Amino acid sequence: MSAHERSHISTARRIVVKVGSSSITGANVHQIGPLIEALAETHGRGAEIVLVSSGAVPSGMRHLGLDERPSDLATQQAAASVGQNVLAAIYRETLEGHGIFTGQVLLTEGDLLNEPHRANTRRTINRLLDLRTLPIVNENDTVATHGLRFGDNDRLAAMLSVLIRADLLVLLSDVDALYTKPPQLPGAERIDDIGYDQPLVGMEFGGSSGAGVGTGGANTKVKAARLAAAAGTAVLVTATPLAARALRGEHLGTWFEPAPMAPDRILL
Amino acid sequence: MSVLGREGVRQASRIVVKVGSSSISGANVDQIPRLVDALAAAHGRGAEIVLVSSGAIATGMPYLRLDERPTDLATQQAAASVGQNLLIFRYQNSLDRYDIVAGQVLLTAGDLENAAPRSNARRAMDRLLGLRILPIVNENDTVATHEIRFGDNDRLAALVATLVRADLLVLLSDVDALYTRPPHLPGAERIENVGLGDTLAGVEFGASVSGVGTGGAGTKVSAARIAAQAGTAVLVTSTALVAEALDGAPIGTWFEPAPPVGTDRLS
Repeated sequence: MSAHERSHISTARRIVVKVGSSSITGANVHQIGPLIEALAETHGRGAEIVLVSSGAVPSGMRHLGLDERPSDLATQQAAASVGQNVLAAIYRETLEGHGIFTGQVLLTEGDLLNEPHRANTRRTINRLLDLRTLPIVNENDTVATHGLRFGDNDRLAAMLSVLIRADLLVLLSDVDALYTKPPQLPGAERIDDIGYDQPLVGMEFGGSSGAGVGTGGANTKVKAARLAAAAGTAVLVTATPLAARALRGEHLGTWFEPAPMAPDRILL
Repeated sequence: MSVLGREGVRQASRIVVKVGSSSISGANVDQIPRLVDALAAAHGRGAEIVLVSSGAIATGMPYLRLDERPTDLATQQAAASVGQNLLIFRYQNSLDRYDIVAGQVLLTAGDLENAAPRSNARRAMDRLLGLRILPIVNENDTVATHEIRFGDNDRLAALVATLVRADLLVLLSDVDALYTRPPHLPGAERIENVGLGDTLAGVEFGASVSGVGTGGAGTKVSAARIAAQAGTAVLVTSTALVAEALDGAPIGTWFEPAPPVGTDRLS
């Protein structure tokens, strides 16, 4: 079921792709087009794709007349409320051009953690995939509170991958791979792959990406990747502009080997 | 929030308008611009407007190649998922003519029943309204399960109206008012006013007939009572009469609101 080796990426059946805020908004808004092309191409070869997309808050900021990410929760939620429409429309219109219909799914943590919501979410996403639509998932920013937030969509994407038994999770951001320490520091080395039971010693994963737009970072990616890999989903961490090449199976980014699964797969 | 009478509609400062699925989808999708004209007029005179709109499932159905409303929950939710953004887009397209920005708010019953998400949702709505954005609210059909659904958007609209302390709730559907019995039956009479304590004994309310939405006269009455008892005036009328409704015309069925706690009712 899962893409045990990198070579299986190009034939992975069910893939969750997560893209961060800073790589598709602001100065990087031009990167959203090629990303959508990559998704369409992969869908076209018969794969089931779910996109987890951040970016609602920055997409809405312009309509609220804001240059910087708002610091108070209510204004963030207002920006997300407007921006989610903008973002979802971009995906919907562009993918429709490829004959692919999209579905918007806004979740809170409870929808992935608690029953009956969890089973309901699984059935809905499965139904959307059966119908060959491409679900576009995001946290329901407008109603999620600080206490309940996922914190970042990396974790949401990992939990979703486990819920729907994805073969592969691709975490896309501004950096082409994970490094043993923040890549701009001297001595930082690119990490090619991480075994499912490999301890991560001597590595220094940074927190926030520093872009000031999103809330993720290497640290959250590693935690999310380990969560998914432990449950049997292979994970690839790379940069958004490399999405097409990654999905075609080129050897790039950091690969997290999935844990071998017992016949009854353990769900978190 | 003061007690609003029919004559005060044009001065209402915060209004929730709820429109049903059959009024704005399928054959009626061209009603959206007319509805937006009326909302924009009220917005333009300074009122804060919230739109509660059904229609996600009906909007999504053609994209799943479904001719009839799906009966299994998963397909309903898939249709809602596909239709929701397109529905908002149709409203935003129409709102662009007035430079009004829409914000999408998807809620589940839990968001309004539990204290933390409830006050959170209220603050978010207040902020949207303060920024002169038009919140377009719907139930989060894609994730809501049968056990925890609002039941119908009439009830959601009433709960939203009480959440944001609206002066007025306007419930729009295909019928111009409430009647003493289903309006196509002989002897049916229009109900003009429902007083706060009026039990509407002897009135025969039906369920939905359009086959697209889930509302009907019965759900409207229940919802209107929720809002009126919490102090929000309610007007039940048809989508075709929305402009007249927001202008204070003597149409539809009016539900008198409860006075704010601590004040004397003026007769």
